[in-house]
Amino acid sequence: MYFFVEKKRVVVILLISVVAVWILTALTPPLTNPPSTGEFDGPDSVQRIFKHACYDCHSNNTKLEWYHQVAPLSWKISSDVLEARRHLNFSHWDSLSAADQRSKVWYAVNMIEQGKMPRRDYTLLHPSAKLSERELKVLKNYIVTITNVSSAQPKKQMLKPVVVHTSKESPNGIQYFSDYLTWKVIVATNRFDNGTMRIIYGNDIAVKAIQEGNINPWPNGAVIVKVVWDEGEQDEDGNIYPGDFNNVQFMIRDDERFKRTEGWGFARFNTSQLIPYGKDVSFEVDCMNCHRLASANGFVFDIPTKMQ
Amino acid sequence: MCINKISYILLMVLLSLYMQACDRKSNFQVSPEDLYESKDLHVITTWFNDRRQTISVLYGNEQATQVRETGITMHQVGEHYTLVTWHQQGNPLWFGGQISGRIAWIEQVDIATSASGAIEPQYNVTYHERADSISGTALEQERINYILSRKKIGHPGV
Ligand code: HEC
Ligand code: HEC
Repeated sequence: MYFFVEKKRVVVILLISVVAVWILTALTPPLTNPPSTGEFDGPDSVQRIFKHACYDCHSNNTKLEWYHQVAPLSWKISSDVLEARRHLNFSHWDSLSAADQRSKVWYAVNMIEQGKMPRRDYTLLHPSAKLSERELKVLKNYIVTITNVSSAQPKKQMLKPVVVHTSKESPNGIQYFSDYLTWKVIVATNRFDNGTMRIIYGNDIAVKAIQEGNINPWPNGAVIVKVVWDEGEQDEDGNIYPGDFNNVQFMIRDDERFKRTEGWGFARFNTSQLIPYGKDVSFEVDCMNCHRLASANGFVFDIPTKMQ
Repeated sequence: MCINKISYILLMVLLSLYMQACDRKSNFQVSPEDLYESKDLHVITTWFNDRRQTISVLYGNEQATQVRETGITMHQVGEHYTLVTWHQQGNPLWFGGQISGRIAWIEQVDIATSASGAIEPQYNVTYHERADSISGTALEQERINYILSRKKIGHPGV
């Protein structure tokens, strides 16, 4: 008898849950697939990989199973896909400049290489979406090839901006400073993905943090500055010298002030006019997202390392 | 059956949150010994070489930096130059990035006076991996000329 009552109660609770889930599901706005304006147009081998592993989130061609449309999973999926499309949408590929397309693919390759994309919650349900070493190699070859071709063409002349920017303040309030000219060099780098070379400077707190291996997290007050030049002329020995100044980027450690971005304050100033980068304060979230790939080094890519 | 599916889904959601917390293990470690302790020297310029797989930074003392900036070709006693050359390696955290790795060698040029009172650059190189030296050879003069003819890199607002 007692057992029977308990069972009845369970059934009632389950019934209520089912109805609740059903109502919540009905209330979720459906995820739609708006028309594509211009698909990604790389070689078939590359397209196949992106379509298989990324299109459910990064295109207007999301394929949903029935259970994806059941609340609360439907909420998570819908917000994930909308966010993914906002960041990278292979169905609006033509809205990006050639240079932006290239940097998105470089970003993609590095996300995949570090196992961040496709997202793990997705590969759990779609194990085959996980890229094999061979597929990653296909993508790497592709991006290296298109980058080499484009850098062989003459650089397009940068138009000098007419407006003189007097404010040297980033949208998040970080002001340009030139103190780094007397700081130590942490490393020097160059990137064949965008034909630039850089010096990374650190203030005393940053340098000390590296020397003591105290970078997870970095101490407050550490400041890292990256100065970027275009690659300039090459001599007969193959030395490549810096050309024009391109931009300067700051990372300032303050875990209170920059809580939103893991304690790092980001700022970037473009051209010798030092035009602050970012339409509004949200730009720093994009900086941070990519720097998550360097979480092993406290979100800093450029520090001296050796293989173990 | 439906309930089963739903609890399966909830489990997946929880599991996925858990999975996002783990990160890939890295196969490299910080090497502070490759951060060059430049003391009071300033950067004059930098360059890299894909054929030799090296990255270099040329430093100078205050006097040398000023000379490089104005492009004066006459050298003065007291100028000091340090050229640090690192092996170039791939950035372990970014495919497409190349970064200075182990320090390969360090060259120094001091503008001094010879016994006869003439201005004479003195050259010195320390290898981190090799013991041989190019002091006193023709190569030495070549390196001095090379180092002394580098122009200062442009920084914004400077
Ligand atoms: C389950 C959905 C999902 C899948 C599948 C997925 N992504 Fe993402 N991706 C996201 C979300 C959400 C974001 C934005 C937030 C973040 O970085 O996590 C994102 C961000 C990115 C970004 C950063 C773009 C930018 O400019 O901010 C890149 C690059 C990227 N994904 C590449 C890929 C690639 C390549 C694949 C396939 C191999 C892939 N993603 C598969 C959901 C997904
Ligand atoms: C698509 C990925 C990506 C984005 C977005 C990004 N960075 Fe970086 N950043 C890198 C990589 C890779 C490096 C290291 C290689 C290099 O450029 O020298 C780096 C290096 C840096 C450094 C030198 C310290 C370090 O971490 O190595 C600073 C400072 C920096 N970035 C600032 C910024 C700022 C400010 C923004 C936003 C305006 C930004 N980054 C956005 C990828 C990114």
